[in-house]
This record gives sequence, C-alpha cells and structure tokens, in this order.
Amino acid sequence: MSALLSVDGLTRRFALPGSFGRRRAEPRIVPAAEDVSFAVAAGEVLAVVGESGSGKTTVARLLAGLDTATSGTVTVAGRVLSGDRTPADQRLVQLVTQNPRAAFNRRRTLRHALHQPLRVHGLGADRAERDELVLAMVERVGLSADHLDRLPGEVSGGELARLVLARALLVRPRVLVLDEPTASLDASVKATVVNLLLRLRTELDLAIVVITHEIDIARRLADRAAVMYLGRIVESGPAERVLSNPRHPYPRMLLASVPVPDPQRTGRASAAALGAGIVGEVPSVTAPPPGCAYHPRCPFATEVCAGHRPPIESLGEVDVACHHPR
Amino acid sequence: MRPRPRLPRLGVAGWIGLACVVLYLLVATVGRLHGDPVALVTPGPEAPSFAHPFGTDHLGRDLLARTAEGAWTSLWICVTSIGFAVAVGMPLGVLAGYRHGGRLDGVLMRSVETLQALPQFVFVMFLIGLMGTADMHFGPVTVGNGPRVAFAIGLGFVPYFARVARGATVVEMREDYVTNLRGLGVPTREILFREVLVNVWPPVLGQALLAMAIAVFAEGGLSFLGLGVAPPQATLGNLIADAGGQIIGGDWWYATLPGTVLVLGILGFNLLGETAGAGRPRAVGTGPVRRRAPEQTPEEIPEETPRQIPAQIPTQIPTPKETQ
Repeated sequence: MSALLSVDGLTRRFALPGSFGRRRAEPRIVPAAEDVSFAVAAGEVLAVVGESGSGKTTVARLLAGLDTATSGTVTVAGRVLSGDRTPADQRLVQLVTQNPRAAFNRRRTLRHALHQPLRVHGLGADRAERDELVLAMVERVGLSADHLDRLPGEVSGGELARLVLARALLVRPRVLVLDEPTASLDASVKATVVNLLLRLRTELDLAIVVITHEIDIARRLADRAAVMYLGRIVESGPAERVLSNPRHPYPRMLLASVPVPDPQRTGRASAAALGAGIVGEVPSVTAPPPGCAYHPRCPFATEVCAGHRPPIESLGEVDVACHHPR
Repeated sequence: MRPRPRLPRLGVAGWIGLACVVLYLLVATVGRLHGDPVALVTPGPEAPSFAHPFGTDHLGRDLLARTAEGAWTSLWICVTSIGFAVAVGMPLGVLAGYRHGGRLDGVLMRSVETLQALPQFVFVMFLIGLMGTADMHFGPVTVGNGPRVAFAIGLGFVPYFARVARGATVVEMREDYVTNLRGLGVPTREILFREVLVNVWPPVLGQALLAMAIAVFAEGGLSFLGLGVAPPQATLGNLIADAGGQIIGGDWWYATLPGTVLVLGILGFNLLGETAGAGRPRAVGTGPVRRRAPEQTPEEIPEETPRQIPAQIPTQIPTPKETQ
C-alpha cells in the first residue's frame, strides 16, 4: 500500500524574540517539531496524540501549508509541497481548526463561506453549478439548505462543526488534517462528528490525520497512531497496539492517566499505581532535557537515557524511540 | 429566509441622539426652503415671529434661512472631512494591522502619530494658517475656503481612524477564520478586503459618528475665529460670532437659536457614535470581546490591542522568525 501522504524528517524551530536589552544574548529556540516522519495511505486515519506543547498543532499547520518547515518534506500524491504553495497544491491538504465557532467569519453568511472556496479555485463553472456543489456537500454532512442563509452565530456548535468539514471538503482535498476536532463539542455531538468522519473517509478515499489529546476518540477513529512528546514522535504503529499496549513509557503513562469510567474504582489515578511515579509537568520547551527528552519523568530511566537520545527502532509492529522499551 | 429587518437596538441615548441628528438634518435641508439667507427682509433685528420663526439679525436678514444655510455648510464640510479621514486613515490602519509588529506598521503608525503631536484644533488652525483664508485659484478651478477647512479638519482626523482600523485589524487577523481562509487558499487580498474589512467597519463607523460631532464643533470654532468660511456665506460658527456683540442689546434669539442647532448636531452625532461604538452586538461566543468603554471620547482611544507578551507555547508566537 503506497502512502498518499508521507512526511519525512519534518522539523520546525521557532526563535523567541529577544527582550529589550538582551538583543545580543543567545536567541532562545523552541524546537516545536523535530524530525517528524510518518505516512498515511488513502482511506486511512492516523491519530497524533500527546500532551499540550508536544508539537501536534505545529505539525498540523506545517501539513496545511500555514507555516514553513525549517527542514523536512511533506509529500502528497507524489507532489512535494513547500510552505509557500500554489493554489492547486494548497487544495490538496485541508486543515480543520479546533473551534468551529471561530472558524467562520461572523458577519458573512454560511452560503458565502461555502461558495468562496469554490469560486477561489474555479471549481464549478457558474453560480448555479457552485450552488449545486455546495448543496450536495451540505447534504452529505447531514444538513440542509436552510442552514445556508444564516450567520454562523445562528447555527448550533455541532452543525457548525459539520459545516467546517463541508467547507474543507468542497475543495476536493486528498488529505484532511483535523486539529482537535472534538475538543469543543459535547458528547452527543462528538459521536455524530466521529461517525461522519468514519463515513467520509471510506466515501471519499481521504488520508486523515487527527490531532487529538482525547485517547478514546483516537481509539474510535484511528487505524494508526503516533504519540508525540516535546516535538518528537516517540512511538507509532497500529492504533490498537499503540493506544492499548504501548512499548514506550510515555504513552504508557498517558494511557494510564485516562480516567476509567468504573464506579468501583476510586482513589488515586492509575498512573501512580503503574509505578510511573511522578506524572510531572512537561519540561521547558526552550530547553528540552538532553538525551531522551522524557527521562526526567520516566520511572525506568538509566544513565544512558540522560546521555543519548534513543533512535527510532522497529519492534515488531511498532516503531519506538526508547532505550528500555517495555 | 430569516427575518432580516429589525429595529436597531439603540438604547435611550441612541434614540435621543438619532432624534437630535434628524432635527439637525431637518433644519439643514427643509429649513433652507424658508428663504434667501442674504436678502434683507426687515429694517433691523426683530424677535422671532410667525413670518421669521428664528427672528432676523442686525442687518435684517432672516435667521432661520441663515441658520439653515449654516447648518448645511457645516454638514457638508463635516461629511467631506470625515469621509476624507476615513478614506485615508482606514486603508493605512488596515495595512498597518496586517503587518502588525513589522517595519511597515512602525513607519505608518509613527508618521501618523506625528500629526497627533499638536492638539487637533491647533493643528487644524496651523494648516489654515499655512493655506490662508482667501480663495485659491488653480487655473480655472477656484477653491473656496470651505473645501480647505474640510481638508484641514479631515487631515487632523486621519490618525484616529488609522488607529481604530489598525486595532480592529490586528484583532481580526488573529481569529481562527483567517487561518481557515488561508488554509483554503483564499488570496490575502480577498481575506483583507472581503472578510476582515466587514469586521473592521463597525468600530470605524462608530468612530466616524463621534468624529462628526467634533468636526461640527471644530468647523463652528474655526468660523467663530474667522478662520473658517467667510461671511456673507453663513455657517453656524460665524453666525454665533456675529451674534456675540448683539446679546448685550437684548437680542437673545440671535445667538441662542443657531447655538441650539449647533448643540443638536454635536450632541446628536456624539450620542449616536457612542451607541454605535459601544454596544456592538456580536455573534455569541465568537472570538474575544472587544474591550471598549462606552464613555470613550476620541481623544483617549487606546491602542485596541497591546503587543502580546511572547507566549511559552511556540505556536502562539505572533511573528515567528525562522532559524536554520
């Protein structure tokens, strides 16, 4: 199975602007994404999970061409995409941002919002044809034409989430990147959106990258999963392996931190019970720890972890970057 | 279709303002039908009567006709000057806001702020002083003092509109929908002028109404000082200036009635501007709420968004510099 989307060694470093009087000082650099590589086939869903600040959103922005990578490449259907893309290339990857409430211009109707991408890319010969395309797409995501003449503020959150998807799909992308698609939705709407995504993936043969910190959503949606920590992928592989029985201590801690909805289980979070000891905070992103970035929080860390960064190694089905995989 | 037309939510102050503006406009338009503003209709000053509702002045000219003429002159000078200020200031502000924090932003805003170094009224008097008050001749075109007063007042207002437009643009550019449109491949030009601009307009419009009040006042002040439109053409300012000497003689109507019309204009535009600027109805839950005190006067408009302190999270840095 050849990959529709392949990402190779994607790196993005930000320089923090120096404060006044410290111009000459060494500029502080935030490595938001370091050497991120993965591949997604058509019809496949990859979930990228990790804590806040792990670089998930940076990867999403790089994929969508909203930011230029420091190094590394994004390849879609054989085309290498740079940060500065032609309109045709820009269409290939569509990003859906986190908050559907903010994703539309509040003073323009939804009809305008959905027509605009078609007009910009010259899809649909005239207004009537574009109208048909918009209507078909709106119905595909389970809404009706009544929604089109409203302003975004007059439509519910769940409907907006579907309209954002509809707008992204109208330009006929090959890759869909969803940044926390369910974070701002309530439970019932979440289910609707997840089911819609699963249906669209098979119908449209898309490669989907879902950026999320909700493990249960990732389990439900994804075929493959990648776990990021401080800008690097620490473990990747089939979702059922990575999201239930990971080899790297960090995803193990992450999974153990997910609350289990079992009224019999009370008391401390299971992460502590796991022997993971200190769950701790994410270290400073400007000065990531040397060696394995996870070693200050890792219960299994040894001297080698502090000194050498573990390379990514293939362990059966999964790829893990750890000196002491479980 | 949704029911579109509804009564604007103005509030008490807004409705009072609207009433004042309507009265002022009535005087400036319908009042002009009353008669010739320069014809001598009575032998001397006469108190208001049925034939001359505002009375007549010391030369025996009908004061309603003159007040209407004055209100009309003030109105077009103000509309022209504010139109000029918006037309120049808003594009500058949008451009500066788009390049927020960049060099162009700095150059534009600092040069616009140079205009604000002098108090606005002093700046306008300085400009009039440079241009003189006599008619100017450019070949066949004669430029009277009116357009020049409009230009001077307008130039004095450019910084206000540039600042308001810049502030609103900076806020809008950070909104998610701009990111989405860029992701969709919508050209920057279209994002700025078809999407961002519709959200920059409302605060600029509120500001324009407030500025109208000040422009009516400034034009009145200039004419009062003899720097504005020269007699015999009437403006509210030179009417009141002429009336000054007559109050002692007991001709109360001469200063009071044109003065009332001037107050109507200033108060009306001010109240309306306050309403438009303050209670901006926003779609529920979209983006940050614009923080704006309702009782703000144009003299103390702060930069709408202060520079943000660089956040720890890399994706939130406003203008990331690339490093290799």
